[in-house]
Amino acid sequence: MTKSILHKADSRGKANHGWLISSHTFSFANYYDPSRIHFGALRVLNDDMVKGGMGFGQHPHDNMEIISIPLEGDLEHKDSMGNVAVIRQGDIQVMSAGTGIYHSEYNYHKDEAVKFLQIWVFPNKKNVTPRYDQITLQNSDSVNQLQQILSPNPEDEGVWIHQDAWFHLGNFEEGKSSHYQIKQSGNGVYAFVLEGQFSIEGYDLDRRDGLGLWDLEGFDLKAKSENAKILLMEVPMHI
Amino acid sequence: MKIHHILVVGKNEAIVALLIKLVNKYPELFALGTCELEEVPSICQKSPIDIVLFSSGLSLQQEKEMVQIVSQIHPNVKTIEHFGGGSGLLRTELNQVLGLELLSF
Repeated sequence: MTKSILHKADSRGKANHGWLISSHTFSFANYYDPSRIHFGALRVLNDDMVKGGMGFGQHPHDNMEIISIPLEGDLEHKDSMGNVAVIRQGDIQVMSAGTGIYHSEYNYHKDEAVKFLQIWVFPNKKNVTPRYDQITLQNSDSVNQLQQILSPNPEDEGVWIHQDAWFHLGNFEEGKSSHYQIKQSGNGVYAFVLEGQFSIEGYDLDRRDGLGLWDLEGFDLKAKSENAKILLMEVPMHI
Repeated sequence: MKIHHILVVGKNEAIVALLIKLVNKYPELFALGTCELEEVPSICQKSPIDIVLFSSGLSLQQEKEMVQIVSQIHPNVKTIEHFGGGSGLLRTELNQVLGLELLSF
């Protein structure tokens, strides 16, 4: 029988540092809720807004698969492997922190905010060689269907990470529906509504609501508004 | 107030140093650390250790050996497998192991 957990948008942890406003789906930094630590291998889902010209100075990471998805605006990335890049809306960036990496992230623009998701997934292998990648997604591939944007396989569609995880994006018109089939038995899916409303497994989801589903083989989703956007994150439930 | 002693062990010198600095911001905690595994026994002889916090770079076997070494001297030692290499997850990891609801800077 399918199990589920609903995280309404306004139940997320909030942090307001002036230059950074963040909503944490799971415990992060100064937000701590013992009932909200992770969903399987999905450990961090931060919904960040950084003011113009501001950002995160150089800081380290290790042993984590870090995925950044700009929602509005552009991010400038620099890291200790020599990568310098601008990640734009419609791109997806991935870092395998492994044995250790330093990076900085700044709003590329001085006069407009950047909004982006930062997602951390526990790796299935520790102490890997750090790596960085980013790609530009074809927006047309997600219209009224689910577009794979991440997988465990370098040859597969989207970016890849060191974990048996698959991410999909969908951009639906009102009334359109789709079916998601679990890729790996035992995995769960965390659905996060980026815009609009969706109906999944009897739940009505609004903007920035999250729904975790596990012990299932697949599920249907239906858009309940125009321009409804959703991110599905399939991850192992046991880490 | 009980002070919990944290031993940070990892291979990435900069990250170990950062973790020590971050842990020491909490008044309830005192951190020390090393990147040299052979230094662990002497550190344990000189200091109480309540928690070993493993940073990156150690194999599973090395982590097991470190736990064995530390628990011979400090039998009630607990361990944290730290992920992320910085401040994001650290407070939650500490809270979970210490059974505390809040740690404050």
